[in-house]
Parts: sequence; C-alpha cells; structure tokens
Amino acid sequence: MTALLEIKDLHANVGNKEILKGLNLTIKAGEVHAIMGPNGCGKSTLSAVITGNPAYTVTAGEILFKGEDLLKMTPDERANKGVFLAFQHPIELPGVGLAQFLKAALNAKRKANGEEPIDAVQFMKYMNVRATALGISNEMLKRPVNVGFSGGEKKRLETFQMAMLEPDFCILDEMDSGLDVDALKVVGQGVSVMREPKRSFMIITHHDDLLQYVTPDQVSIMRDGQIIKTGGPELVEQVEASGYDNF
Amino acid sequence: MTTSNPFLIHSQENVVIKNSDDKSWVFEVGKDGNLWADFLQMTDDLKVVVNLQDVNARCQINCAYLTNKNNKINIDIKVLHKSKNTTSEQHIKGIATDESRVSFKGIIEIPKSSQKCDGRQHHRGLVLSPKAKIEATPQLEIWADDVVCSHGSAIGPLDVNQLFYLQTRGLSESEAKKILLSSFLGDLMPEEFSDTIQQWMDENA
Amino acid sequence: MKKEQSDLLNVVNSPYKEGFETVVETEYAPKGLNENVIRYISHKKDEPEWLLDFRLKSFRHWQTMTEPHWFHGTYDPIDYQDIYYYSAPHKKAPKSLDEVDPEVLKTYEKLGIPLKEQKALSGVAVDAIFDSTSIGTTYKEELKKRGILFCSFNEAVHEYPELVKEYLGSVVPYTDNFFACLNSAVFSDGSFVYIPKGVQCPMELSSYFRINARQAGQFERTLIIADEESSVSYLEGCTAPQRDENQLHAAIVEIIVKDRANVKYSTVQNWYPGDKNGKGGVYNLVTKRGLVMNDAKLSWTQVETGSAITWKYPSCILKGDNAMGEFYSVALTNNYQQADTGTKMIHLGKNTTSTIISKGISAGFSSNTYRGLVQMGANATNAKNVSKCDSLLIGDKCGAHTIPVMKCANETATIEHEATTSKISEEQLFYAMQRGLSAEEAVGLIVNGFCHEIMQKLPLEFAIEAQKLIGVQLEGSVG
Ligand SMILES: Nc1ncnc2c1ncn2[C@@H]1O[C@H](COP(=O)(O)OP(=O)(O)OP(=O)(O)O)[C@@H](O)[C@H]1O
Ligand SMILES: [Mg+2]
Repeated sequence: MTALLEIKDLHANVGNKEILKGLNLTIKAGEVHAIMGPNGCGKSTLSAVITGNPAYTVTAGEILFKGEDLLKMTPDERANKGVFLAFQHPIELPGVGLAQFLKAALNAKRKANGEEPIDAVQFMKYMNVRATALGISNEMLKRPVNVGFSGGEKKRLETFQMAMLEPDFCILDEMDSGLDVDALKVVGQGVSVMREPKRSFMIITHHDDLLQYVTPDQVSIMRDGQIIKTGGPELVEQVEASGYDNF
Repeated sequence: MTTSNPFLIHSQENVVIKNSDDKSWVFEVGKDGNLWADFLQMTDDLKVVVNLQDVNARCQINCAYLTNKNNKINIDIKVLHKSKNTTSEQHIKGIATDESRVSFKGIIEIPKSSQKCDGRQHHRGLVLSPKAKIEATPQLEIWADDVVCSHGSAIGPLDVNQLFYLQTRGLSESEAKKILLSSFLGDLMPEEFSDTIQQWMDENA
Repeated sequence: MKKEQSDLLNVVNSPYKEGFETVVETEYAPKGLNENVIRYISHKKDEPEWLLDFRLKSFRHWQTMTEPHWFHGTYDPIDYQDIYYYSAPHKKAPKSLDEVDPEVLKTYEKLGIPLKEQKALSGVAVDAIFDSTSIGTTYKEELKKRGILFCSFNEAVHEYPELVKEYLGSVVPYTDNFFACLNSAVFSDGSFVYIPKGVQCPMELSSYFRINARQAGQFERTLIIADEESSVSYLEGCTAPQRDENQLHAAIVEIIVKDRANVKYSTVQNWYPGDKNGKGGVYNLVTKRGLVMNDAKLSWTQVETGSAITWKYPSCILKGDNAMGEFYSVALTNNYQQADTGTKMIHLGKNTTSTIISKGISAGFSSNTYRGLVQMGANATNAKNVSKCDSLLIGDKCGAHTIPVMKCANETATIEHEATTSKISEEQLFYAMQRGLSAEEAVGLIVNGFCHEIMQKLPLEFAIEAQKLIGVQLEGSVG
C-alpha cells in the first residue's frame, strides 16, 4: 500500500494560538485510521487544516495528498481531488436545497475530471438509491442543507453526502457523537459499505461505537497538537479502559 | 434628578460627555470604554449621540417613554461606530396614551473600515388610546461588510394571548391589562425610576 | 490562507448578455421637451383631445416641480432637454406582426421571447414594447373570448376609451411626484389589462420592455384593472443595449384591485447596469402603486438586478376592509450600481394586512437601500403588518442601508419590523467549497439560498431566469 496522505511536522494556528505543534501522520490507500484524543487536543483543527479552512493558518510543515502539495490548493480543489470532511458541526445553508446542493457539488467534481454534467434523470436515480440506503426521505432531500435538522439527522446527512460524492479520502469528525443506537447502525453500515481498497478513512472519535462497524487498521493517539502514539485496534480498548493519561 | 425626565448613567469608563443639558447628549467612548445610560422620557424631547471612537468601545442605551395628554415628544438616538471592533446595544420601549405623540428615530451607522462591529437596536411601542400615535424610524447605515447589525421594531396593542392567559386565571380584563402594562417595561429601567413609573401607571393605565 | 476573502474583494464585471443593439430605421420626436413635443407624441398616437389635455395639464404642472433628491446616493444630473421623448422603429403603427421590422422580431427571439403565435411561449401572453411603441401582443384573441382585454396602452385609448378615461391617474395622479408627472406628460406606450368580473385569467400576462434607440427615454404606462372576484398574474421583464450614456426610464404602473379580486405583479428588472466603472446604464425611476379594495389582494414580487440607478417603491393602498398587500423583493447591486427601493403599505381599511420581505445584496462599490413606509390610519382597526429586511454585503467597498418608517395611529393595529445586515458567512462558504464548489459557485448558491423565499413567489420560468441572472450579476464579485 502506498501513502495517500502524508503529513510532516505540521504546525498550525488559530489567531495567534498554536494548536498543531509538529504533527506527523501517514495514512495509506485503503486504510481506516482512527484518531483519538482528549477534548481540545486539536483533532478538528487537523481536519480543518487538511481541508483548507481559511480560519486556520499553517505556519510550518507539509501535507501531501496522492503525492501533491495539498496546502497550495483551495478548499474546492482539495475536495475535487477527493478529500471529504464530514463536519463535527455541519453548517446550515438556508434556502439551499440539499438535492440542488449535491447536484452542484457532483457536477463540480465531474467538471474537474473533465466529464459532462450529469443529467437530471440520472442524478435522481443516483441520489435515490443512496438516500434509500441511508433512510433519507424525499422530504429531507427538498429541505435546505442542515437547516432545522436534529443533531443525529445532520450526521446521517453528512454520511449521505459522502456516499453521493464517493471521495477517496473521508474524514469523519465525531460522526458517532449524538447518535441513537439505530442511527449509529445506519451510519456505521453506511461507512462500512464504502470501505474499498482504494478509499481511506480518517475517523476522529472518542469511543469504539463507530469502530465496531468499521474496524480500524491503525489507531493514532493525539495529545496537545501532536500524534504521540500509533498502533493497532488494541489502542481503542486501552483508551476505553483507562483514558488518555497512560499515553 | 428631575422627576419628569430622569436619567441615570451607570457606567462611563473612558467616556467623555461632550455636551449635555438633560435633553441633548453627546458621548464619546474611548478605547475599551463602556457607556451604560438609562433615560426615561415623559414630556421632553431626547437627543443622544454616541460616538464609539476606539477599539472595544461599548455602549448600552436604554430608553423608556411614557406619554399622555397631548404631549408630543421626539426621541433621537444615533450610534456611530467610528472604530472597528465596537459594540452597541439600544433598547427602547414605551407607551403612548391619550392624544400624545411619540416620534422615535434610531440610527446605527457603521462607516467603511469599521470592521467587526456589532450594533443592535430594539424598539417596542404600545399605543393605548385611539388618538395616540407612535412613529418609528429605525435606520441602519452600513458601509463595512464584516459586521453584525440588526434592528427590530414593533408597534401595537398588548398581546391578546397574554391578556387571555391572565383572564383564564381569573383576572378581569382591566386587572390583566394593568399587570401587563406594569410589567411592560420589565427591568429596562433602574430601581431609582420605579416610583416615577409606578405613579404614571397608576394615573394612566 | 484567507483566499476566499481576498477572492471576494476582487471585483470585475461580467458581460451584460442582453447588451446588443438592433439596427432599425427609427423615427424620433425632436429632441427635448416642450408643448410641441407633447402635441407631436399625442398626434403620432392619434390620440383624442381629452388625453392631449391630460398630457398638457401634466406638463404644465411638471414645470412647477423640482427633481427630488432624497435618494440615497448620487448620480449625474439629468438634462431633460437632451433626451428624445419619442422614438419608434417604424413610420406607421403595425397592424399585425407581419408588418413589424424583422430585425425587431429577431431582437425578441434573441431575448428568448418569440412573438409569432406558432412559436409563442405557451401559457404566457406577451405585450412587447420596443422603445416607445408596442409592437405586438400574443394570444390577444384567445383572451378576448373570455372578456379579458390585453393590449397596448395606445390601442386601449382607441378601443376602450371609457375604461382608460375612468382609471388613468386614479391611483397615481399626475401631481404625485416629479417622475410620475413627467411620465403623465410624455408617456409613450405600455400595456393595458382589464379582467372582467369573476374571471380568472387562464394564463400569465406579460409585458417585455426593450430600450433600443440612443438617447431616448422610455416612459411606459401600465394600467391593470381587476374587476370584482377576478384574478390575474402579470409579469414584467426588461432589457436595454449596452451604452456609454445613461438612459432614462420613468414608468408608471397603476393597478386597481376591486372587491375580492387578486392581482400578482412580478418583475424581473434587468436594464443595462452600466459597465464595471459605472459608465452608462439605465436610470430606472418608477412609480408603481395599487389600490386594493375589500377582501382583495395585491402582491408585488420584484427581482432587481439591473439599472445604474433604481428608485422604486411598489406600493399598496389598502383601502377596503380585509385588503391584503404583499411585497417580496430581491435587489442585487454590483460595481457602481445604486438601488433605493422598497414599498409603502398604507392601511386604511379594517383588518387590513401586509407582509414585506426584502433581501438586499450589495457587492463591488454599490449601494443598496431598503426604504419603506408602513402606515396605520386611524380607521385601520386590527390591521397588521410584518416586515423583514435582510441585507448581505459582499466585499468592504459597498454599502447597505435600511430605512423603514412606521407610523401607527390606531391603538389596535400592529406593526412588526425586523432587519439584519451581515456578510456571507465564511463558514458557509467553506462548507460549500469543501464539497467541491468554486468560491464563485458557492457565493452564487448561498446568495440564491438567501433569496430563496422570494424566488419561490415568482412563476416557475421566471424564477429560473431570475436565479441565473443573480449568478451572472455576481460573476466577478468573487475571484
Ligand atoms: N476558531 C477558533 N477560535 C479559537 N480557538 C479555537 C478555534 N478553533 C479551535 N480552537 C481551540 O483550539 C483547540 C483545539 O480545538 P479542536 O476543535 O481542534 O479540538 P478537538 O480535539 O477537535 O476537540 P473535541 O474533542 O472537543 O472536538 C481548542 O482549545 C479550541 O478551543
Ligand atoms: Mg473536535
């Protein structure tokens, strides 16, 4: 397996405060990589920096994605290269219908790949299959993106967007928090069917809930802006049993 | 303190009062300054200009009006966010009865280069009698994009749902009205004004 | 890293797609304005004496008035003697479309509005106005079978003089304001609609205005009468060629909505806005007003994306009891455009209600003002108004202003107004871009989302058109 994502000595600030302090991480193609760490250690910041959120400033280090310098790209270029983030707190877009939004996103990707825009009928088919699988109703597809949805519904919709866009690299930021048992199952299965030899996942989580559906190949423990340990799935049990103090 | 149109300045950290004759005020709020002032208008006009001169200047202006007979008053409040990172809040509430007239004008102005400002204004007016009149002209003048600004203004009678609720609890309509009116100003005005307000309510509500 | 933000500031204009000119033989009135020009216009249109009198009376009054300047912004002074007040693409009024200059017909096809019946848009009857004259009205005969009169204003003057005489100036008197008075003196053509009692108009009626001639003003006049219990949905569209000099457009729309009738008036205003440096563009100074009787309803929807200067306040006089007025507006300004627009809701009758929703978007160096008046008269018992005005700023060189005036003289009436001003949220922009959309697409999508509740009020084809326009107008406001 070759490296899909390589992060070297990454330093990043929000305002004047340094959050990532020399972070190193490699994720191979096809790998499911869990990231665990205490609140505020910088997990969401890492996902924001990988996806190019302008609120964060990279002060040193590099991120290579498929061998290319990700830091040089705009957020949409990164997305169209195959980077997807399921947000810990999905953003509301009032007035923008979900179906309309996804069609625009799908066509942006097709355009980036030199393909023709998808026609309306094909799009509906493509969307309905995925919506049904994740229990997304027609009514939800017509509503504006993330507006007025419950916390759990929003997470389900993020999974659905991921299924629609078929990215090569999926970052799931606390996808499993705030989900009831049934929703966890839907999301867990939704993620596990997407597991493929060439698709990688970075799963940020505090618990083994989601990881029971998608067993990680690698687990990294993050503390104070750095990865302090990487190992196999056994690390998840250690965290569950005795927290982060022993790392 | 006069009893007809009392005012109270709670806080004037780093505030220069440029001019005041009880009816007309110009405040300049400096860096990290904080102005908090309350005004109660019953018979006189009021004109307030607040210049937020430097970063982190803040102001909170509360104004209540209670007018009766054939009094006519004008209330003009203007907040100028002259510097970036400044915050303002205005709360204006009042009641007009008999043949009184109230004209309220409120401006929030944010010039170019005053980014990251937050300006808010709320007005609520109650018209209590057929011949009373309230006019409101809240105005936003915004020339900077990275700001949050809002104003809200409502003019109308007492909330019929609240009235109904109190009546289902056994109060007569006039008792219910009295309760709603006396709580209308809520805690907008300070303790110091409560006797004046109470007296007005007893005579007019 | 603040890429989007700097993108947002980088303002370049987008090409105005309707900016082409049609080369046709044009007949002008002598330049400038005096009683002879007015007589010339009236004569050209073969008008009856009473109408010439109306024009002259208006002109004399106009000479006593001065141009108002409370507009929020500035513009070059208008030289009223440097304008052609009449221009038409042919010497004689065409009897049928076959007599219309083929170049003119082509213009409309190019604009997406074919006029020949076999090709005409289905479900929409169109009155096409080219400079000072109507050049054709589609589906006229079919409508007439139901008693619906839809024709050019000029034709109505000849065919239905009693109706015109009764209602002309009844909602917007010639003394109303400077520009309305000017229009009353020199109005050229426009559309006329009469819906008889109890008739629901089976299709959308539409007028399409095109300014073509150089240095010509356009002064059209629309009169809509919806008799008791009738209903109609009316659409108005407009474009002009790209020119360096400013062009004046001073129109009047008068609507009479009788008891229990229902009128919906939608506008997509796309006059030439001027170039990216603010050169040229149409001065759009318009008076639109409706008189709403008992249990009747008038709804204005406007999407304003064009014009260098927009100055208009579609209004409702809610005269009858239970009358309803609505105003839904999107105003988008970019580059050096200036818009000062809003509405007046005058509540006179009991239980009258009005709703105002306004969305203003400013980009570039533009200035966008919402100005409104809600007035509760002494007899407006239990009247209610709700207004909501939101402004969005794109870039730090533009301005957004909100000036609502509320006057309440009835103790049972309620007025509620809320307004906000903010910029496009960086978070929303990032979220959309994370899904692969470019900064420009993301802004277009978010702005369209911001306007969604207004777009929904437009008839479907118009909504799609308007949505595209917003995208086009924003082009260049982001990198
Ligand atoms: N926009 C911001 N402004 C100020 N501080 C921020 C911002 N974003 C993150 N931080 C701070 O950076 C630190 C790391 O935040 P981050 O959201 O990355 O943590 P996290 O590991 O994802 O935590 P959690 O498990 O609670 O989601 C925190 O102390 C947080 O308060
Ligand atoms: Mg987090």
